[in-house]
Amino acid sequence: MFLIFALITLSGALAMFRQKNLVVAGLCLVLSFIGVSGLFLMLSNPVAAALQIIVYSGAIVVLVLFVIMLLNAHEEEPAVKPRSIQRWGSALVVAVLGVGAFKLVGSSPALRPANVRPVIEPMTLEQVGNYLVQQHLLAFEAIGLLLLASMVAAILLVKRDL
Amino acid sequence: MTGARDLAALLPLAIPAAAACLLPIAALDKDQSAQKWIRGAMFFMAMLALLGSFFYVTQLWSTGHQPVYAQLSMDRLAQFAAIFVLIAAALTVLQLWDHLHQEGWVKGECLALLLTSVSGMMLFTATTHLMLLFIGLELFSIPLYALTATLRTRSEAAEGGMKYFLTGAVASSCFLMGAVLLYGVTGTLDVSEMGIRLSVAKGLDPLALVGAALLLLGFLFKASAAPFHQWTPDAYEGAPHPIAAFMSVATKGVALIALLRIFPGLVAGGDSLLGVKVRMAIALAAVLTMIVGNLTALVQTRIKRMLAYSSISHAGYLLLAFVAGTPQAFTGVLFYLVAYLAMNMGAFGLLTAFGLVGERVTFDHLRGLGWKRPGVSIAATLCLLSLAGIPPTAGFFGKYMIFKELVQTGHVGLTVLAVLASLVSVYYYLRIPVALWLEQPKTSIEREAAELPAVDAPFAGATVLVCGALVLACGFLQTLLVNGFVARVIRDWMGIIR
Repeated sequence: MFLIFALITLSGALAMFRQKNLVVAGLCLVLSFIGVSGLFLMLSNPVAAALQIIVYSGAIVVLVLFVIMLLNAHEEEPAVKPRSIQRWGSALVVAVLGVGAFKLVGSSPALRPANVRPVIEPMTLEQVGNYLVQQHLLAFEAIGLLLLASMVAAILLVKRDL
Repeated sequence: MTGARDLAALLPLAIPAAAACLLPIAALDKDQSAQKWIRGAMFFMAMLALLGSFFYVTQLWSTGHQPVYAQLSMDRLAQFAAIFVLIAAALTVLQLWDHLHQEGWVKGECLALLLTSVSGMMLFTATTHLMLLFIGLELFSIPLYALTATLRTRSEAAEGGMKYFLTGAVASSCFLMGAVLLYGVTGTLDVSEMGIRLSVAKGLDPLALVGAALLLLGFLFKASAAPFHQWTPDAYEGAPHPIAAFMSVATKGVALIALLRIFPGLVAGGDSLLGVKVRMAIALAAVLTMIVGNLTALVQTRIKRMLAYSSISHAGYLLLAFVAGTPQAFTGVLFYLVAYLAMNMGAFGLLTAFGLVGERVTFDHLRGLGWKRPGVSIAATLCLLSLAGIPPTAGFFGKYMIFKELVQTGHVGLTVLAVLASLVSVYYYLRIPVALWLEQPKTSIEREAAELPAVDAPFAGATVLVCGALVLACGFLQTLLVNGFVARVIRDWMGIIR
């Protein structure tokens, strides 16, 4: 089950990079997000899974696609001739990093599978709310400020007659 | 986890944040570029917020009150960091007034971003909670990315901002990945708790090692230490001078103070295998940083690029203190940061005070200017001598305190290298005073300057004078400052940990 969702996520992400048509690439992104939400479900967190689908696959990707269409930039980009040395080099780096990550996770004593399977209660929306405004209230407020700052920054950088 | 809720801990952050929310409303006015009083009011508001926060923190300091709000603790170290950041920001606001008028692009939104960044820096230095650390990091970096590109009509500004943003995003995600790995291994987000759990665990978990390395990468990036320094010269060159000064002083300062705060947790007692590796990594980064920074600074022709590489090399000296790792060395770091605040704000302020904007920031444009504005030039010369580490100034004592501890902990080779590096730095720092006082101005540049309106930069000039005075004061009164101010921070803070 885990492998299926992980493969969906990875193949979506890879396809997005390989795709030259921007709109199709955006749709591949949706595929990747759906895989991630499946992973959240497996961690018994249906709230995060639902949010992932609503916010990321729904709102954000639609927004991105709109921007792409409004900018009228969905024609195929002129293909840059890939340099083979770059391609092989990056493939090598990815392979080394992948093998390294596998070895790392395999050799870590903290991640040995426990003998007893812990019973995890699925997360509810109520719990999420409690976490947000009790344990992480400060972080929650700080993120509000961060969003404001990034909006001001975006306006400062792109507004035509400021 | 949700124990203490003392609002006094939040107030120093909340005051700049509130002003940052109000400033964009003032900046909405269409006449902000036409009416001088609107611009004045905006700058006044920003200064007022900084001063209000400053007085509040100094009051906390003098009463010895160390309030805690949830995961945020305004202890002595955080108060020190807050004072440090607020002074840097106040000097920046004063210089911005002059610099933005010279550039002809005065926008109140810049001040709002600067104040948000100040709040983020205070949050970043006042917590050991990894999630808050990350939010603080983003809260001060995202406004800085935009501030770098603020003079958007210029292509270097866009280039510098973009480079800073992309590399910064990679560094932030590395930081986040490191935090996640450490959380996965230890099951806690609090670094001091994490240190205890890691030191109890037998052997070295490779995941914890990778996590710590990625976390460290985030800090080294913000402190612009090699090999994560490449963004620095481009970002500084694109940014307005005061913002470049603020980035070099405050960002480096808070990155090192926050590293100082989580360092005992990260090295897990100091004798563990993880601690040894983390120290080795820091030593390696420090050596690379000193070599790369100083040697590259030698060949620069533009002043801002030279100052950028110099700021990289200073990150190297400061990191050496973490290799020594004694309380005295940490005292040295904080003292050096105070000195660095004065001398670097002074050096960047010189450019603003002489109205060097756009392409006109090469050494040639400084030639012979010393005799025209002697007061400012003398103060700036003091700052540069201090950057080079010449004895009676503050910079010398800062380096001395760090190097002494380094020798006493047995790192003689590193010390020799550091001393050699700072000797090399004397050459490029002295190029500015030499140009100011000894060289004749080029006729072509003089003719060009005669056509431009006379430079009027009262605030920037004043800040340079203040910086020069501060450099001398830190130099002559250094025992007073160290015992009364800096050493107290470390003592109180070490007391909390043990």
